[in-house]
Amino acid sequence: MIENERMVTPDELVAEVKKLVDAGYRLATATCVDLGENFEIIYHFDKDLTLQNLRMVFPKDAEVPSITGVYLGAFLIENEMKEMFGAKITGIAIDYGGKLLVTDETLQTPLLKSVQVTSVATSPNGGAQ
Amino acid sequence: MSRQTVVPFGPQHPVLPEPIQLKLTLEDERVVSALPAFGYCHRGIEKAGELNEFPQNVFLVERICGICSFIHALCYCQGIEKIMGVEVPERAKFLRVIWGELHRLHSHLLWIGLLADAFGFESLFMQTWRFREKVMDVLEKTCGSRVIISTCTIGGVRRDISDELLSEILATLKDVERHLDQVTHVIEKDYTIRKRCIGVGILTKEQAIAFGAVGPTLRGSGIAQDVRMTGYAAYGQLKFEPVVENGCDSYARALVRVRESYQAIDLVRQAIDKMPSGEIAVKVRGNPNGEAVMRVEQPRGELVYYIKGNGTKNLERLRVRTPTYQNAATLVAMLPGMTLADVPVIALSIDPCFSCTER
Repeated sequence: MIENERMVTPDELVAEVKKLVDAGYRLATATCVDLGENFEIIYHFDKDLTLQNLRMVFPKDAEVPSITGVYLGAFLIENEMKEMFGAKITGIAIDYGGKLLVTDETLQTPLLKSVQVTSVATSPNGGAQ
Repeated sequence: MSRQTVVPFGPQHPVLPEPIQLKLTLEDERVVSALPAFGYCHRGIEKAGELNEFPQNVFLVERICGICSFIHALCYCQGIEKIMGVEVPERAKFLRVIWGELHRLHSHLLWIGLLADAFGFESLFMQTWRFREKVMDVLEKTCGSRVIISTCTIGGVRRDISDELLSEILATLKDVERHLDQVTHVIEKDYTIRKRCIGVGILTKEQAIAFGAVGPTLRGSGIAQDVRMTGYAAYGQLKFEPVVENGCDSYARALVRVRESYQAIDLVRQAIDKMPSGEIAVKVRGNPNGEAVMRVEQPRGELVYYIKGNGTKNLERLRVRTPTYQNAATLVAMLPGMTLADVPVIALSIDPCFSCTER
């Protein structure tokens, strides 16, 4: 548990975010965690240095809505979660199409637990394998 | 209607030594829209943070950025200490402030030099970096290293600073302050700097919140928010007010950094004056089990770490959100309406650090 957190469902997410935005909150960031069967995304909102955290757990193959419709500044964060974890976030206002941080030549969804990285130092081409 | 042209600004550009590309859509010389793109040197440090044992991560996160290395280590250590319920000795908290503010000072001096270089003010650039070196020399004397100082550890700090060295720091800061007065005069009075920065790259208060701006970018838009106000480390025992400017433009962001350089000197002086004697670290046993969100103020703004431990030596998740990742999004709002010639100054005005962003 982290301070000031509450659970939301994907259906409630956008409305809950809008309430915070209307109340003057700023999105500090969002964190995606691989829970095995599910993903967990925690949205960290800040106002006057106090955090409000919205925690959302959903199956890995489920689609979840983007919050960029109500908070445009989330576009880089959502693109990152999409690429690093493969989270199916739909409707991102500025969608990089999976090419913000990774390319076709690099490791895909590297932050998934199932993606094994051996050792950066010992890989044959000097990069993560 | 004029024909629109797309101009790729970067990833290699004389003004930006770090790799960011701005996809600029122009009508004649005026920017219609801009889209930041990065990922040219992503290092996968969050993944590496899960593979290392958690004490090793202190050295890993320091290497996210060479400009604010100590502050990354501080944020990580404070996060682990929060999960494990570790109380850090008072002297260590003050030493953390001293090293943190020395990093802020040399980071802001580096930025002032880069801004001068962008205008073609080579003399100002070299002069600023010359006395930035004095701060780097102080770091070397106190830690044995100029950039990655490795003094922060879980439970406190690794090194103490002797009274003799503290006196030397005070003397050096007096010298740096004298140089800073000269630079401040130029930034405040010079016609070219004012002409190139005032009214350029407007980010309104509302836009700053809507794009999640942090640090001098946020405070240059009139919002008095600085994580040091929460009183982490020893900041709660020092006199501190966030530096705020209301211009909402590149000039306001520059002034915030200049004034914060003076503030960093003042905070080091206060910390040296009030620092108690005693232990500098406590022994930490066990493994972290639980989660924490930790925030500290980097030179570029709020740094956020999310740490989740599972009771083993390896973390379940290490998330690092650096200030430039937030501030890069604000370029989408700042650049439209500006001319192509203004783009370098505006991009510099957020003090971008892609070493941090490509963590």
